[in-house]
Amino acid sequence: MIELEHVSKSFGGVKAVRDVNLIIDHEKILGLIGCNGAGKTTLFNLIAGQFPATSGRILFDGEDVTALPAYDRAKLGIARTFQIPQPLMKLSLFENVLVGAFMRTADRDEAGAAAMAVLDQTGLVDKADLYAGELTTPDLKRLEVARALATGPQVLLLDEVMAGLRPAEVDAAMEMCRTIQKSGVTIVLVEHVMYAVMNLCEHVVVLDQGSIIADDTPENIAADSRVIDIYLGREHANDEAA
Amino acid sequence: MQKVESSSSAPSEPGITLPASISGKGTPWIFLGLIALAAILAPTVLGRYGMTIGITLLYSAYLASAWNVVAGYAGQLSLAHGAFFGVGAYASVYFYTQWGISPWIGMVFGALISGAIAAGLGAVSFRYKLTGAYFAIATLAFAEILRVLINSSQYLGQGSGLVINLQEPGWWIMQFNDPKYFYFIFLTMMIGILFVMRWLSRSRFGYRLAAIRESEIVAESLGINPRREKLLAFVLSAILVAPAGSVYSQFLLFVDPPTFLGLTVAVAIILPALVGGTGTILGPLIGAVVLVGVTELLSHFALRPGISLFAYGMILILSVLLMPRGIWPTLHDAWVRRRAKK
Repeated sequence: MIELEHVSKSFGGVKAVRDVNLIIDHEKILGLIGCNGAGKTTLFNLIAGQFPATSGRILFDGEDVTALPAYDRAKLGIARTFQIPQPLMKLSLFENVLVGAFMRTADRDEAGAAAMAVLDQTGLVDKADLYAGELTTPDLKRLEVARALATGPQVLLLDEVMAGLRPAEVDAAMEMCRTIQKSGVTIVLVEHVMYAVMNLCEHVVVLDQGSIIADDTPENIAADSRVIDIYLGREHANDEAA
Repeated sequence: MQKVESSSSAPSEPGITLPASISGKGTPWIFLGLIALAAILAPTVLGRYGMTIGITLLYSAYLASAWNVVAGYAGQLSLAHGAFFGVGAYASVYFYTQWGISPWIGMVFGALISGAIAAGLGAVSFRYKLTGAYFAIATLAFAEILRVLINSSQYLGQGSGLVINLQEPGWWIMQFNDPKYFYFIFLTMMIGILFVMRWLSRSRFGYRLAAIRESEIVAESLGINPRREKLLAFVLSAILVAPAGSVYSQFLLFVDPPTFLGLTVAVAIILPALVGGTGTILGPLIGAVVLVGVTELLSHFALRPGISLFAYGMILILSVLLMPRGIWPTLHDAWVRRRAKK
């Protein structure tokens, strides 16, 4: 579905992403983990098209999208959330999602119905009329997902939507991810909450200093000694294996 | 944007019941109708002087509303609107005095020229990602260049401008014995632009502009091309401003640089929108009612000269201190909150 071929990104002298080759399969949940500064969000921005790659190619359904700006990739079906929630402040929750829904139709009633359906799916219907300033952190994260989902994507890039949530809220968010996947959307998940990554993903990719150091099933990743040394840590790895 | 009122009727059936802002329910049609009726009947009650105040009020409100399209909805603070206003005025007066072309036709050409200039200026500004203060400075620089050019152009009468000769009054040449006709022209334009803003507040284009205003990065992630939408808003806004210049120049029977061009004109266009509330349908109109209404009444009834200007300044200071978002959004929210508590 999405293929990255030798993708690199440099900011001045800093190589944030180095020669990444990655295939994101259709209707799967892919986890992307790694330390802070490993290049996860940069990789996300490259896929979403927020900035161009320094070198390499990005393919979407076999089509080369390397040169396309973010809004054209969104139209093709690549939607993303932001690590720090970026609600459109002067718009209500419903209107935030409505802007996303307007990508597929110019008709107000149609877009409104689509937005309400997404709010229902993400459990936000009761708060449709609230403004961003009145929302809690979990709701802001849900809003990020709902707004992206309203564009009717094929691939959904979720950037740390579970960070800062309480365990019960993480469970709810995981449930939401599963529902979204079942509706036929491919999900790429950048996440530090290992519990969620290990339970949700069919496939986990580990980034370190801009390079992919492991690409395997969650079970194998949890047992990989390099990943344990660099990212998971000894004690934590035992927790996950148990 | 005014959508909080729907909180009382929260949608329960997804996909069927839409919040009031989008379904159009909750628009106070009766109230608006009464105001429109009062405005239509005003000329029979008010005298010539009252009509002049009415004209000043409506044309200030119209200009602020036109500016509101690009500044309030799309969040791009243009200072070139004084120039677009002047382009509309100069175009129709020049066409009429040189070639005897009806100001109505000149008005259309003025709007088109204004839109074309905005397209060029906007294309360059948005290409180089000038936003916020930088866009304001770029548009200000452009407006000043245009003012200096016209001020030194012999074809356009240099600093003294162009004068329209008095003729036998008639609709075709837009000259009237009674100012009430200009009042009705501006009233029609005002009602028209209210519908434009109502459309902006509910349509896909309007929501795209609002998204760009709040965050261009988020807008792009939702499939919106900020450069294109901002350019469309800027051109639309410029096209809307220009006709007011054409009509106002017919009302004054002249056009000259100090009255129709430059920064002071741009500021006069902007202030009612800032005082009343940008990005709202009624904000610019309410701002104009407060600013023009208070100053005109005071200059008529106050015993000492200068009190009206003092009041004008006080309104500006107080509105910035007490209602930085504008009169209309502040009052509207307060009203909605009170109703929600009941």
